[in-house]
Amino acid sequence: MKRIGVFLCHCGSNIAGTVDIDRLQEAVRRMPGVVYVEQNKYTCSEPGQEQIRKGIKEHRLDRVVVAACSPRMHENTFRRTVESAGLNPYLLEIANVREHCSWVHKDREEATAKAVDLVRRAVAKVVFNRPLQKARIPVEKRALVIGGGIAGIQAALDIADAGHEVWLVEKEPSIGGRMAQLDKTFPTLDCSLCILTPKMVDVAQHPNIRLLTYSQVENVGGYVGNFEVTIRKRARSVDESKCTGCGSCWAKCPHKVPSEFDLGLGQRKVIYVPFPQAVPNKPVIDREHCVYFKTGKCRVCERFCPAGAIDFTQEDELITERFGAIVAATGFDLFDHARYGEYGAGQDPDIISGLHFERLVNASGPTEGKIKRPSDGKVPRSVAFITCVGSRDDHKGISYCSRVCCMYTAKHAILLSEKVPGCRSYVFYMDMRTPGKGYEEFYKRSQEMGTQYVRGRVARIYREGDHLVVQGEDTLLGRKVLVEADMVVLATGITPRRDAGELARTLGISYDQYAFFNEAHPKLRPVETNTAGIYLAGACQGPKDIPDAVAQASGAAAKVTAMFSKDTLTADPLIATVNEAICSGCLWCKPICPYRAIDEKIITERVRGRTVSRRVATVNAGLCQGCGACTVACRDGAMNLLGFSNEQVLAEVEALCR
Amino acid sequence: MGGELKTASGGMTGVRSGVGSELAERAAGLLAGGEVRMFLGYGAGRTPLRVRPRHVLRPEAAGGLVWNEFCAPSLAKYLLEEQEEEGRVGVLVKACDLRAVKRLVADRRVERERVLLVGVGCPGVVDAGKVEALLARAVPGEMVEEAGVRDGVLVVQTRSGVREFPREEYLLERCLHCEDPNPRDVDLFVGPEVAPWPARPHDYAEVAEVAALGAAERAAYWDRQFARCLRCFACRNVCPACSCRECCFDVWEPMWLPREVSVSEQYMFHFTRAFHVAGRCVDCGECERVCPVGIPLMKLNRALQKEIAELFGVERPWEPQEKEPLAMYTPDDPDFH
Repeated sequence: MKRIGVFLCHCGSNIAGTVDIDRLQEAVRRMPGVVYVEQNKYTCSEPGQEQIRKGIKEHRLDRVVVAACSPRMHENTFRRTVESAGLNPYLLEIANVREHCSWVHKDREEATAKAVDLVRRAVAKVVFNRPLQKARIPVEKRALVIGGGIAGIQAALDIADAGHEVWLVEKEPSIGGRMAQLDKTFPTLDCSLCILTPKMVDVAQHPNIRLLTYSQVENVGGYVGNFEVTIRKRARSVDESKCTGCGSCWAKCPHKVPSEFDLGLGQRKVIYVPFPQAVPNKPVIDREHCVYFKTGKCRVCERFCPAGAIDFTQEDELITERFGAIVAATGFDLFDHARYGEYGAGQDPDIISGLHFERLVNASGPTEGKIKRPSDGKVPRSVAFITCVGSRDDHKGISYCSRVCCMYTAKHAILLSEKVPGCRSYVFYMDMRTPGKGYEEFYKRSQEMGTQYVRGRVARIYREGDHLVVQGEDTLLGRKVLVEADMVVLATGITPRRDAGELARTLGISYDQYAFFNEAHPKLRPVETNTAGIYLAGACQGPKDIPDAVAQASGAAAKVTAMFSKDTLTADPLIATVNEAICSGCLWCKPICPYRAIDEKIITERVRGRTVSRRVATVNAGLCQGCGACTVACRDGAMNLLGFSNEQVLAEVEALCR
Repeated sequence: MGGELKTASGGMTGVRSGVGSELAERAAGLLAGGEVRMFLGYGAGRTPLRVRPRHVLRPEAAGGLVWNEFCAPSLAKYLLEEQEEEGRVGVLVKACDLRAVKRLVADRRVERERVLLVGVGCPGVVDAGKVEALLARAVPGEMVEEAGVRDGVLVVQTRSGVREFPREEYLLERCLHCEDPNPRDVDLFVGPEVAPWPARPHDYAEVAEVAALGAAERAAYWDRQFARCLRCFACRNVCPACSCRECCFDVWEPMWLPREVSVSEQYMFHFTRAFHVAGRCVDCGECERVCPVGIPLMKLNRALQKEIAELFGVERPWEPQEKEPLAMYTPDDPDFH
């Protein structure tokens, strides 16, 4: 017979206020196997834990049940408590009589009866608990950072500075990301590239960082500490070891296409670096548009390259490497305002997005920093800014706030009044959101510089001859507003990268309805994912400005370095195991496993004097997260989840149905 | 109901179609050529309305194989026992039986390469249990002396005379829903293809009927059905979706199914069985056919089929799927976080 001790927590009045603990104690005393019952005001407190230790020693307890709050809160606390008293930590069960009972019921009678049932369930289960041992898995102390924007750069630098090898993978030909496209940054009006390029150079020069640009993660296998990642290094058509970045090739290339970096406002050559400060400063040939690749003729770049670096025969390279941790820092895309029919559906050249404005106002942009409207190059005398385009708009299916648009619009208004003195500017806003250091002051400054703020949504924008008419409402004054503008800037919101869902599936991490990656806990684990060993940095997790993205990147890096500070990781033993004697080898457990932890293996055994081999399922302890999906799919009960074994669950059901 | 009584007609021959002799020849050839080590087919049964499975090991013995409208049982499940021996096994399959074999292959309990599928076009088979019950109701203790199907009419010579059963009356339930009586993707096909007949749609009418009952009436209905259960496990044994090495109903630890015979444990048994085949049931109805006490098990199976069709958009949930709707993780599953 097991010797079970039950510890009932009042949680102040959280539990005791609704559940009659004395009556619960009486009922528990009569449960089979229970030899000791004790109640505490706060079982999680040091005296409360001491009671458990004392109970184990004095009453020779070999199983412990704590009736308290959710196991998500204090299961680990109490596991350590029983362990310190010499018991295996997995001989503990929690009966959640707070979240599952006292907090959701008012009636004392009913709540007490339910608490009795919940404790009876835990007592019935704990009889079948077995001592479990944590497994140790080795850690490959090499990190992979996906995405070379400011978040990825910061994470890579921090991990590398801690002395660990980092691979930084960037899809584009250069690192820098969105921040490289910005002109100035709020609220200090630092030049974006001036503060970004030193970090980009740090990356390029860091002995611990291996930079792979024009590359993409193709496949991720393995598990925390031991990921196996395949990276596709796309053919640059330029031998990076020979190229000196002299620029002859792109100077001489005779063909131009719209520049992605300038959002189509300017042009780039077919062999190109996206922007002058690119890292690495080595061009790529855009094979889709290259005349040589299309017609077999040209090769001008090859002729002018003094280093002989052009290599038309280069092929994509697949690199497979092991990593202990992965940081996803894939950034964001801008909301496509073509979805706003009332704002010109993306058709009118003078209705532009905020990022277009950044390129227009930037000295190395297509207009060399002169603000000219795209349709005819005229310097605007009146500009309207509209915030919350693709943010906080349920009609467009986007309920969230993009967090940066209020501030970047204030910045645009300031830059506009500096560059085009006397230009009238209007900002149509829903609410001004300035919750950052120096943000409110910055917004005030834009007002003081003459920008007129109009609270209200714009109903529509239409063209009237040479100019645009913005028709909206001033909800503060309660009247309709018509504003004539030469140019309209839409503060388009932040959306996940278009291929974010695909990457999440490759990584095996979850994402929300918009395809922003999910953090493990919105408050307490904001940089971790639910997949151990994979961390998040920057706007791939949700809209963020630069300081937040950098802070989160450093947070993710701290998590990675903390993990790398150990040689081995302890793995939770609550994982699925296969009873090979029963397993039919049907392997329906395999497609149901979200973590790809199940595989097949062949075992040999003696049957009626002959050696036969047969197929059975096997669980990779590193990958298994103990979700239990396989145990449900397994009809013969060969799959068993340790800590939630078939025996334990049946005992619980029996106890509850009694 | 019950087949109209006629005066005794001339000598009845039963059904000995040309397909039967072709089948015997092919089976003998396969065995003689070493292509299969065994051939699984049908042999004459103890009564003219029934056949028995026949395991033919030698070419000379193939002459005992028969093929007729009484070949209702599926032979698929016998393949399971043959997996431990080396060599290939030939098996005669109707279109419905083929679904069962595919089920066993999809569940990796039978290796496709180790089976030689011999298909046969099926004119629809006789529900012997139903016919016997009708005969017994008309004349208690009735004995069948001869039986055969002629021009879509089942003619039964009994001790007391000749009875005829029209097609709708003698056909097995699953034959009424048959969409194509000719098995496709088999290794060999014997005899001619059979022209399909108008199939009754799968409209789950029998499910709707039970669902329309009030909760109390519905419970009473199933109480009545399950109370008759003998726990003989014939339904499980015949089911092509029940192929576990060790069935959960047989193990003692943990005791998934207590041996106590009570209505609540009967529910446990029947619900567990239905849930274990959910998404994998091939709609063959063998469980119901072999149930000695006539529990309408297909009503449970079909209720789940219907749910799966509606929830997962699997239009033919009785066909083995490449990805089983209930055994598959998809990242866009709204229940996964």
